[in-house]
Amino acid sequence: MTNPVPLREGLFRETAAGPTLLASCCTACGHTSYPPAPRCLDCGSEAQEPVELGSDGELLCATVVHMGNNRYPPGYTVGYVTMPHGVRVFAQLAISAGEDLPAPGTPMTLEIVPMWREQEQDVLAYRFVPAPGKESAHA
Amino acid sequence: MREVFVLGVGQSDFGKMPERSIADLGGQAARAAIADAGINSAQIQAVFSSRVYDAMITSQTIMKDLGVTRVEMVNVENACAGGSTAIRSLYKDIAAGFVDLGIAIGVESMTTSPIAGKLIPPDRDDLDGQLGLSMPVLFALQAQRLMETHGATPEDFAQVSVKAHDFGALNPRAQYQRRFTVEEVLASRMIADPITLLQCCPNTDGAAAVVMASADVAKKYSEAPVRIAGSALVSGDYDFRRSDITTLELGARAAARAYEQAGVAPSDVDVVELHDAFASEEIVHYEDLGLCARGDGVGLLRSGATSIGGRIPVNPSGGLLSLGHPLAASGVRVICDITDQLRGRSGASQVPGAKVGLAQMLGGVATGLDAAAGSVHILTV
Ligand SMILES: [Zn+2]
Repeated sequence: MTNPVPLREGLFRETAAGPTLLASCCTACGHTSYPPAPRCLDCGSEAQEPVELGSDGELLCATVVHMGNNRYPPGYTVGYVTMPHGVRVFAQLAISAGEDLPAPGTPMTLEIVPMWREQEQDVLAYRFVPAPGKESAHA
Repeated sequence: MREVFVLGVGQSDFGKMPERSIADLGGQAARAAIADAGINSAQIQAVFSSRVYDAMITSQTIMKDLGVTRVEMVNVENACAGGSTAIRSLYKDIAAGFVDLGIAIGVESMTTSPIAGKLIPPDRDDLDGQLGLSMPVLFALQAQRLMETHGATPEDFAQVSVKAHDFGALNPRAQYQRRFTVEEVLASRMIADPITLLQCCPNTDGAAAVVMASADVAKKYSEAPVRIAGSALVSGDYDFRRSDITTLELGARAAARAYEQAGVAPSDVDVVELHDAFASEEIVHYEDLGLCARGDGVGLLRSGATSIGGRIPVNPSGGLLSLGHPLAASGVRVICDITDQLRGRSGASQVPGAKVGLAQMLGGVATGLDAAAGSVHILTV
């Protein structure tokens, strides 16, 4: 059994406080970039410090995809989730088949899971789970 | 900068034709455009061609069968906006005086491409693509947001498709030359909520070509050539710079540049051809092109202004939804259709007295951008 590999390095990690997305924050203008950028995407400054976005977000919108693609069988759910610093993230949503789409504004929480297998290894990526009742981090 | 004119336009058949080669499809469109222009192919000084899938020396592959050799030939790719990019590139060369007469071609064989029958994905290494994003998913999420912010309904999105097929039924070139009801569109197979199969453009093979010329050449061959009064091509911007996903700001920026260059206002435009790969996006384009105020896209659709006989008919060709969408061909095809409208030869779908037409095409997605390429051309007579 080999260790799972992340989809790519530097995007996310598990911490004592739970999983988090990794971003960069510009010390010149305050813009937050996800995925983290070596150079600010807004002002161009190279003064970037790493920030953790945490795991709490809020659903902007979601859709169920009824055609499969290479990695995902038909019936998978995806959406945009708004994270702290206003970062909009596209991701899979953990919704069971037949379950209603979560409404816009639903609090969502991040999880890091094996998303598919490649060359005998699990590939780790992130997705969001509805967490109704949880306070949205940026509300 | 010199003025640039459309001298002739041509299209191949559109449909599922895996047996037909790129040279065959492109050649059919190029021959038709050359004949329409009334020129001899030996006069062509430059060729710009576009193709997305398995592209290699597309111009040369097509033109060697037409006796055109030893001239400058360029092959461009810009996803669905590739054809517009070929037009724009030739436009710039003629405007700058490098050449006086050339041809722009867009061609695609979708049925033999690696994505035949699949959801069109972003680039293989794109992050969002790896997480499950594809073109219909992108537009389904936008449609979900339109329902939230604009009061749009699934019936509105279906109505865009009904409108496209009402027009397409009048166009002998349409792949699907038949009409549908809102109920039929809604009852077709769900692809990505709320987008159903009949709200998605079909996989289609085809080609389109446009012969363009400087004023001196154009007036020798035509008494009333169609002028390219505005031409713009812009790349996408960072997604974080747009307030919401209910706009594709690169389309708005391309439109603003083209309007300014042409010296026309959105209210001057008589007819529009635009990217309706998915029905719901048409409502966004209405707003980005300034055909109505921001937030009023659904109202414009419901008013019937963009339908047959309306104030500003959109996609009287039948659009991508009924014609089909051979990716790189579509940006050239919209120039062909607007030219035909301005020449008054669009038959049953003719917009009476059309003098100013707008051709728009957008293409490509990549993580972090609103889209990849946006192009708007304004044509006048
Ligand atoms: Zn900055």
